[in-house]
Amino acid sequence: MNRTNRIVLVVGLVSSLTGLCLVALPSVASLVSLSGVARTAPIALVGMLSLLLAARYVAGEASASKARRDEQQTRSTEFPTPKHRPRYEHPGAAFARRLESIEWTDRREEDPNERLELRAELREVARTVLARTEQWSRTDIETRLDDGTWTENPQAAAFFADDVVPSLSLWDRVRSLWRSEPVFARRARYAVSELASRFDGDDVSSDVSAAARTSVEDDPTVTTRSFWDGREGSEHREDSETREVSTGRTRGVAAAALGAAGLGIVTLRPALFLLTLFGITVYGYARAVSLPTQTVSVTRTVSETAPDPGQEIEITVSILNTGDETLADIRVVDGVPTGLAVSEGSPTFTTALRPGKEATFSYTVEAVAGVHAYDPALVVTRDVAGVKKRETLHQSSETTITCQLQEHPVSGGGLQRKTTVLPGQVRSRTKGAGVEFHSVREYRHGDPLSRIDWNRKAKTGEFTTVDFREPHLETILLVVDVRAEAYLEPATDCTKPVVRQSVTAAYSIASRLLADSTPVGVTALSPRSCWLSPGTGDVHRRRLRELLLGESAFSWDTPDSEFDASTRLREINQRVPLDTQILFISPLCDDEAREAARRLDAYGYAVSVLSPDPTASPVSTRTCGVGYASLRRQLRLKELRNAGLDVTDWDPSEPLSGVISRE
Amino acid sequence: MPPLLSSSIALVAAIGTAIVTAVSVYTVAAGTLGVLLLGAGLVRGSVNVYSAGNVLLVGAILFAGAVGMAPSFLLAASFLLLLSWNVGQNGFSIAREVGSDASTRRIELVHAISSSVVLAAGCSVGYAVFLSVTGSESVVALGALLVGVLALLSTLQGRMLEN
Repeated sequence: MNRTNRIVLVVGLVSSLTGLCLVALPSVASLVSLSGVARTAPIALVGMLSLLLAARYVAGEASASKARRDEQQTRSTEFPTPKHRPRYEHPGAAFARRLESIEWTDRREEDPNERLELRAELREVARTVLARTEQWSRTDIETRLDDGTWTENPQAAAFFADDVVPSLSLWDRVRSLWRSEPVFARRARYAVSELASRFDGDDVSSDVSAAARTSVEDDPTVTTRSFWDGREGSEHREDSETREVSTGRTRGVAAAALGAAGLGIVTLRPALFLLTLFGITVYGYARAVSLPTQTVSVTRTVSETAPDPGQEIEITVSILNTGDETLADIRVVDGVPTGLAVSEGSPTFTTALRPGKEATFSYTVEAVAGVHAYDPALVVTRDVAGVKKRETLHQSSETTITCQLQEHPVSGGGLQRKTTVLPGQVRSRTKGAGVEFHSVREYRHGDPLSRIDWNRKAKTGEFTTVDFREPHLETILLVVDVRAEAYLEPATDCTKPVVRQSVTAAYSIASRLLADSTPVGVTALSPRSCWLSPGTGDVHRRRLRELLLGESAFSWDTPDSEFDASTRLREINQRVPLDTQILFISPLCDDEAREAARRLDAYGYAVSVLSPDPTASPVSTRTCGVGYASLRRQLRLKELRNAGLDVTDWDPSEPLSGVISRE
Repeated sequence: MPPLLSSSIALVAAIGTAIVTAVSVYTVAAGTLGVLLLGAGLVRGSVNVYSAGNVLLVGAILFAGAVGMAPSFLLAASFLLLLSWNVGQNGFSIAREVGSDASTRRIELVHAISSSVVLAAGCSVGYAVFLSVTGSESVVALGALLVGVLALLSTLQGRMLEN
């Protein structure tokens, strides 16, 4: 308490006591009798003062709430909602974001960059699409785009033909009053739906889906740990797992009480002044009450720690009040790991507990592949009237659920021939002993006698050595794309990121290759580094499985740090000899992934690409966001195929084995 | 959206405030609008709309006091409004922290009962003092009490914000 406050408090106490004494002993009070100005002035003064104070609190509260809002914008203070997985990016979100960046106010800029860029990009796409689908020449396409005769749809035609900042008709102006979407963005949607429909042959609607829109907004906090760390950032002084927070519920009561007091004094209504005592009660209570020390123990039991994928696991949490005070308000949020989604019940719980009592709640989660370590449970307790609260992280006991990866059967008749395991596998480039003829060269000292071309020796008298292709097993490195951009939710199944399909595919292919004793290594294209050199054998197989299961690079939450793929690729180049085959598994939904494949190819590796398709969706629900993502992705695949890479497009709803034997 | 029990207690208490303060056209208008906003805030889960409703009800109480409503009615109205505010805020905090899946009836009831006990205790002690003061004729005593109350309120409030 600072000095001024202390003085005010002392004055307040003394003054109140004097008042009470005077009330109790009227004879003392009657000694001092005031009249005239001396009688009214002090009271009026106090009234004005209290109104001023009320105004000050209101102003202070307004600025404080503004500061809180600003703070909330910079970092997430939302309570964790561990019931669901984090929201992964919808494939259509990239296009939705592009459209959102176009605003009405761009019209005033001299060079509306966003608009120009979007149009240049779409024009490039339009050229490629029209060249493929129509029998038009290059110049024909350009003129048709310029004069808008490439399509019947007036909106789509106007996108390329009209100005970037279109002049608005009267109807458009009226419409802009209730629709926030600029005309240019609307035209872009129509143009994209037209292009995507032509490319696929199916109808693509011109709407941006709701899923894509929500995906653009902020992510909800999911784990208790991330919530805790997000809060800790600014003002918290405690290093430990406990912190006390004022709930702020009493704010505003002071202003109301002071306002009532001032008004009561000025209008000479004692009843109004009486209302101040509510302010005193509330604040006095808030000052006097102390939070019960949080003496809670949390125990978590799991019905199965090593379940199969898809199995339901029951989690039971019990909370015991170990102290000797009643806890009137306990709220528990269990630290469900990112990958697990609650299928039944709720991981949050509330109760009031007397000393020594215990409460239990349970919920069911569905097991999915991965090593899921529980975060500590977040326990919030409050005093009876809820003016103060205490938040604690309770790390009860380590709870880890390990669920093995499901191996897709990559079998079938074709698989015995190695070339069908990986599309476009090249022959060994090493020459030496073997069966298949490779080349003839002059004899060098030390060559085995069996490989000397004796016929030639007999004919010409010179020694030559025959080289054969070595029946040498290719070494294979699986590069899995797990950058943040690859954490997309498939348009069909909205809870599992497409990265999981990549990981499962990597595991299935690797175990198939290991069964053939082909050396396989794994690395992740991710900010979280991860490396397993090619090898064979049971130990290697086990290590590979553990790595794909538990390594943070392959985890369920999206990496958030900045990442430059080219440094990681350079690292791969330094570590891996050039005769290694690389299988790059990536959804290929952004240009960096395509660049990565091209770069690996440029280093001289034989690169194959397996691309699970997050944009695959039933025809009826195709929207322009997904349609555009799908269109761009198809063009990328085509570009890679043109560059000589073997690209396999895989719709994850199909079994992997079907895709591979098809190739 | 706050849980049903807290919402209903808050709404009923707010309606009570509006009824008690209905002494003039202005207070009836402010009270009705306040209750409507408060209800809308509770249904839509918007704290801002809810707070706006509360501010209107505070206005109704102040106006009713200024036109000379009896102290006991004024006290009752304020008690109901504070209860409504406290329970409603608690409901919002439950909605934010726990969501609607878990059962929260127990802590809601405990909170509603204990906060009404705290408020009732505070206001009855104060009301007793008030009755004895207004019975006496001393202006000095009144002035001293005024200063004391205001100083206490302001320092306690300051302390709260520090915490």
